[in-house]
Amino acid sequence: MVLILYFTFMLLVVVMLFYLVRHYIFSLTALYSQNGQTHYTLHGLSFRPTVSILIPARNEEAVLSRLLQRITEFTYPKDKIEVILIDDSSIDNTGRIAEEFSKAYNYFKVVHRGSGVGGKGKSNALNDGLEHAIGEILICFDADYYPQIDIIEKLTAYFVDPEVGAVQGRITVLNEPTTLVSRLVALERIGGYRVDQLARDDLGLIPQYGGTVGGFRRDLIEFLGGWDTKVLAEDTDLTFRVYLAGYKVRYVNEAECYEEAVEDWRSYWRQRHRWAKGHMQCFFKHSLPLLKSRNLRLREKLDGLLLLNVYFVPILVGLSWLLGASIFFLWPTNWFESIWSLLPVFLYSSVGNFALFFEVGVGVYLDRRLRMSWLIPVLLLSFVFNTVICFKAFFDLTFSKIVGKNVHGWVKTLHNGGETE
Amino acid sequence: MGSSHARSPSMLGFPRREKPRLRHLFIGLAVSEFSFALLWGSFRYLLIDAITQVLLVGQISLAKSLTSESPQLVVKLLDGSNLNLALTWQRSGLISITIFGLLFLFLMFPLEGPIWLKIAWLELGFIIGLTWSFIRLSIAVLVAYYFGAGAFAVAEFFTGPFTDFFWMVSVWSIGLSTLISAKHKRVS
Repeated sequence: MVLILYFTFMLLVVVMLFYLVRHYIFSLTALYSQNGQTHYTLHGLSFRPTVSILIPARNEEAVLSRLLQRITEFTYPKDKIEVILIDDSSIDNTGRIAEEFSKAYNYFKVVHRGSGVGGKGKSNALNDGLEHAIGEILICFDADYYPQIDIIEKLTAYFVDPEVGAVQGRITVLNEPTTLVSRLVALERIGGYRVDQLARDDLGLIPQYGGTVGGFRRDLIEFLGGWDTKVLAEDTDLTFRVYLAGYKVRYVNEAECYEEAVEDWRSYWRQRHRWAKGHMQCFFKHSLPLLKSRNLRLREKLDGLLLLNVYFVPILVGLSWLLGASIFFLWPTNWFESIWSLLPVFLYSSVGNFALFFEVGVGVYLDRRLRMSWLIPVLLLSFVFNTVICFKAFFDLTFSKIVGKNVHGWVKTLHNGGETE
Repeated sequence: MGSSHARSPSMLGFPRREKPRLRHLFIGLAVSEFSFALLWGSFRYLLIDAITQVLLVGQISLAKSLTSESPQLVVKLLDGSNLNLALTWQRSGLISITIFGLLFLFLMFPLEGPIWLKIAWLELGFIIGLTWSFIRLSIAVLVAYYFGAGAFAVAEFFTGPFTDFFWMVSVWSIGLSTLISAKHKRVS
């Protein structure tokens, strides 16, 4: 019995060490890789595909006009853009704002989803938008986002490569100073995008499409059958479907877009619970096809598996803590104390949007954010929170599998326009 | 939106990639090796002396034993029994300090920034680690004295590596911000 516990504990330690090394390599790559993505993307090219911008919006009156106004300022040729606003059964003024813009600008279209079909999640709304899109490239934005004016040039430049099926831009937090939660989310975003995504792109692994501030080839997504409405993390799902279809995703670090981050723990819980559950669904859906796929190299498969497993890591860390504590109290040995000393490292493996503390620190350093690194130790809070969230998501998912109920509710994150109002 | 734009990383004009400062790393290795040599030789004995002196002031009866493989503290508990505490490498905090040193070496020294600043933060980290080890063990001994030997394990568990890592990350983070600050001033 004791041996089994020791063995299980050591196995967990090995898994955590694997993640530790992986993220250390990511940090070094983001810092020092001279062969990776440069600061300047290919937007000097004359490649200008037609673009359909999809904006699913449900009760977004507080933020929508900010984004739409911004889109009118885009530098991309207007005759090559169409903006499709999907009003997803809003009960506020979202639909009216969208109509106003569509009257003022002829490249804006509005798709109203009635109360019978609307409100069933982002994937459903996007699929409706897809039916109306005619651009070669689809770019998605959430309604609370605020992109750079030349973001379309930066994102579409990578589609020159016929192997590229999707691109993802960088997300930074707009309302960062508002609360502690929004500051922590900003840290997570820095670690996740500035280091993790960039390194995965540099190393030829699997950069992830993040659901917004990114784009696809329209013919590819049509071939794939649109967004899977049964999966809560439609972005992760699509990322893997793109790879399994033989295409790749590129991350474009300098295509920056601001988002309105959640500002309180309750919203954080709802959002992350949805992400965790969706990501776990993707783990069960894609792990086996990923391993069997002939379109992926070994390192892509390995990175893909680690990526799919990422929302299980807090659970594994939690288990290793429980196991470690049991062994510490019940069967203490000297050698175990040394392993015990390493446990906090594994704890921090999951801090900050599932990046290690030093990965977040490297991102902060590369962005030259003077005092932001002071908050890195506080990421422990979000780790503890994430551990509970992931446990809950796992139990929910397991329960729904057992009872055969595979319909998962979509809890929308509310946006209030924050400090820019 | 203006303030947000001012924060935009891409507008600061800093180079996006660095070259690792290997010379700094080697200097850091030498400095930390020297510090480790000092610490691993004598720290446990210093620590046991310090704890004995301080707790004796508080009328807690302690004895130290330096004859065994590890120096030991013998605490006479309130119930009259004796608790023998071997000051192992782990218990003394030296393992944690070594982990901090390694993290700091490989994560901080190769970055851009003045070498003196990195050495200063490394040494400051060591001092904080040593101080925390002293406080942590003193608390654990106090808990054992008042609540018994079982409580010692609990105190050690909760003030152990978990808290250790909190100071490590904090020192590393603040050190990093001073590096960024130094770099910022130089560029300005």
